[in-house]
Amino acid sequence: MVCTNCKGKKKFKNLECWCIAGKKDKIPLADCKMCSGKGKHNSTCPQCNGSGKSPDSYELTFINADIKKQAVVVIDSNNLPSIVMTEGQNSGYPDKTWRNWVLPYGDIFKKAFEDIGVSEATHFMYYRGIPIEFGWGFHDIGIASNRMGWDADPKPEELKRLAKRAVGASFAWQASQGRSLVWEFRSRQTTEELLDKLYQMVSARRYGYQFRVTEGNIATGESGWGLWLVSADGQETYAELAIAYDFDVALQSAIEYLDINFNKLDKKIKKLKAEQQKE
Amino acid sequence: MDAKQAADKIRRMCFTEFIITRSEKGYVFSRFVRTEERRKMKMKSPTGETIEFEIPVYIIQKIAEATTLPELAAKLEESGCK
Repeated sequence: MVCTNCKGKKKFKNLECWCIAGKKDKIPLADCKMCSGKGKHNSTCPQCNGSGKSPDSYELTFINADIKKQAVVVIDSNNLPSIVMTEGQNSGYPDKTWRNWVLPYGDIFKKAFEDIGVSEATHFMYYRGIPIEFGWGFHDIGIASNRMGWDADPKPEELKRLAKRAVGASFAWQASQGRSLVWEFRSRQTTEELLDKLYQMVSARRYGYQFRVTEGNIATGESGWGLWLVSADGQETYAELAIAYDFDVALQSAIEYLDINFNKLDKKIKKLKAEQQKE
Repeated sequence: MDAKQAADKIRRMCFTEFIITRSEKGYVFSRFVRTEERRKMKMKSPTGETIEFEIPVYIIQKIAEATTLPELAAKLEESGCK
């Protein structure tokens, strides 16, 4: 399958260098590391690493870390699940004709999760050792929407092309970075237990914690939870511990962050406070 | 209602600009309030000049307190987050 990013070109040639971008006189920097003063440079496609091809399939591995059970799901670009059209419900648009086309991957993943015995209620999902939002990248993959400028009734070939591209975009970048497509699941505690655990961790060293709602995403209006390390009386804020859309994921991330970094953080704060007292 | 549902309920009800602090006794819901007071700040620019400017002082004002998050959510619902 041809790379969706460079469309098989492998290299992007004669790109305008950042050192002249937006400049009126277009005079490149003489010692620019990117273009060596020429103002133009070539760049290897970052998605396929210059091979011009995207893999035809991606192997996703899900591991239940508690019982060491694993499931492999192969996403084959030439054998995609059939595309489903959904009508926009409660759409804010007056004509209520918002339509989406999606690849229903949810069912495939659901089966794999069942096989290894994990669920959102009982487990946290990790990618590269970091707890992430469960639904991330695993709900149905959106292909096109007629509100995004696509034809209201696109041709089946067009949808197929878009579907392949969407699948590639989801996993190709990670794969091109040499990262394995492995997701790990670890059993989770209840929210109350996480709240108490975090409090025990910070209060043992005479700190407290706070949570706040983060600024919303401009495009979607979504906002999440931020966890902060504060003084025991709550009057001084020291460090951001975690940020996540899901309350539990934010708590778990904060706990894991402190597990690794608390000593370093504690030293830094104490040093800062000593300096402040001197002044 | 469990703690997670309570947290999400508070988020929906009270919009942003609030802080919940965990203390020994439970949870304190507060808001940032801008005061008339101003604080002088000094900064050194890369060229070595010292710039002085004023910033408003905010205080953290306690609005509600409860031993658990569901209780806090119930209190805030009753008071309209005020």
